[in-house]
Amino acid sequence: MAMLEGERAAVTASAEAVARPQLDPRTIEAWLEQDEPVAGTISTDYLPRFTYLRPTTLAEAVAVLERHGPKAALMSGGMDLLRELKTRSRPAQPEVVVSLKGIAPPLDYVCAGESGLAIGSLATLRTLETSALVREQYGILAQAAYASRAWQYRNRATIGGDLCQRELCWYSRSSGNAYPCFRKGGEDCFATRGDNRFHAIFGRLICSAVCPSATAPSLAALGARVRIVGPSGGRSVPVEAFFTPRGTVLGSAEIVAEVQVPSPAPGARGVFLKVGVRNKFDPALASVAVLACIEQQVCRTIRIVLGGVSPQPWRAFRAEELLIGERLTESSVARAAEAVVEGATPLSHNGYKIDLARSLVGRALVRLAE
Amino acid sequence: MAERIELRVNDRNQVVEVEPFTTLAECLRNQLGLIGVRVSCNQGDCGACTILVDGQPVNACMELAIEAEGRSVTTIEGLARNGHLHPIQQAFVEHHGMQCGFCTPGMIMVARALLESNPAPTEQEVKEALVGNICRCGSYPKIITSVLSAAQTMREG
Repeated sequence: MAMLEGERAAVTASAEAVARPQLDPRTIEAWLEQDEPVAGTISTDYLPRFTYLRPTTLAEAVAVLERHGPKAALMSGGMDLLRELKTRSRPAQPEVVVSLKGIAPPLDYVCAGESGLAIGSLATLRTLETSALVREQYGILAQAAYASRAWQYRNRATIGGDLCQRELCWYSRSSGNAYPCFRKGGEDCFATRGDNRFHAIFGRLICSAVCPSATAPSLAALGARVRIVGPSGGRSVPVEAFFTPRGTVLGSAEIVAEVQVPSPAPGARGVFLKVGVRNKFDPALASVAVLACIEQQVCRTIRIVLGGVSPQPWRAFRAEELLIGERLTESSVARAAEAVVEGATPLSHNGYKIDLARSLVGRALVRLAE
Repeated sequence: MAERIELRVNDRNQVVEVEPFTTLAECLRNQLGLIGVRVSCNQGDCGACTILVDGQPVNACMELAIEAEGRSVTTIEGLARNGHLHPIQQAFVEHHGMQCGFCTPGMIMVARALLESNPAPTEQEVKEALVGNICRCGSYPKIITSVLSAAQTMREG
């Protein structure tokens, strides 16, 4: 994304001059010149000026995104976008905000189809957590939605937004766009040598930030797919493949239209566990979603997906292989939990996530066996 | 470009002119004078600006005012009736559910939404409902006592 050469030099210089996130006062001056605060505004974190568009069909929304390119930002619930706009943490300030709330028929549905559940991308996390259908048949999704954040957040945050929100990293999200990292077209990951206590221990290829989605581990365990519409029509990708080491597969004019969750096999049981800094309502330090079919105490099928430990939802294939065809005993659970963390590559401040991931998986498997 | 929107605030119809980038918190405070909508973090983390939109708690700082068109909004100013405090407000006074009081309106609005849907919450349910409201004085124990006491008062009618 385009950034003025002088501006880039200024922020790079300021990033090098200080070891921890700190704003260059010149950057603040620059913001104040950029947009005048609204008269009588209550905070310096006012929203920048933008034009608000409300297309009425998905095709029109795609066309609007294509027309405005990087100057447009897509908004569903707004919980992530408005924060980004207020903190000026995007490489380029969008001039146009494109809301999906005007689309008819509305995209906030949650309905049972022939082969499973269809969730419109504007369905709120609160809808998922309170829907009797989701709670009864897709329990790990309802639990993940409930544990995502606070009630006020869940009332507005949507499943589409949950999947598409920006990565969790205090460098890439820092106010005033101070750190030109890989995600912003730069050539550095500040977290690898800075404060990385909340960053990834698996799958760090380019960026070390963890996948921000609260529902992705549950969706991946359920085998859900994301239906995307874009300039060249529609496509559907598994949730696991939706996330990449650098973000998501979404093109600049593509929109998540729906999440499709297949019905779990008869007799399948799920467990979802999550640990946050204060409690489970914080972003996950680590979370785990398990879906398994256990017949006569023998594990027939199992999917184990971790959140909060990798840029993508992290599928524990090796542990799954160890458990299939086995009884869930103390020793098989311990072996599987150990296999989950084999090959982890922790950074300087996040080694604790290895212990956390191991014990969370262990606890989830014990609960599954109960 | 400013747009004229109609919304219902504390049971009164209001027409306001807002920019697309005006938050509902800014609109309620600056244009309608409802300064009980406290803005603290302004990023949807602290819950001080919590209001009810169609009965559901949301952060007013994270709502665009234009998206509130046609909605029914309740702020802390809309709770008292005929000069009498709402039972939740009364309980906060009686049980000292505040120290500096900055977080109080948000706490009370969430408590109101909780007691509407669950008139007899457990202590754990109160804690989980209030998870998005931060009190930097640390009055949580008395806030929870206040909400539980208000629930009892409201059940007894």
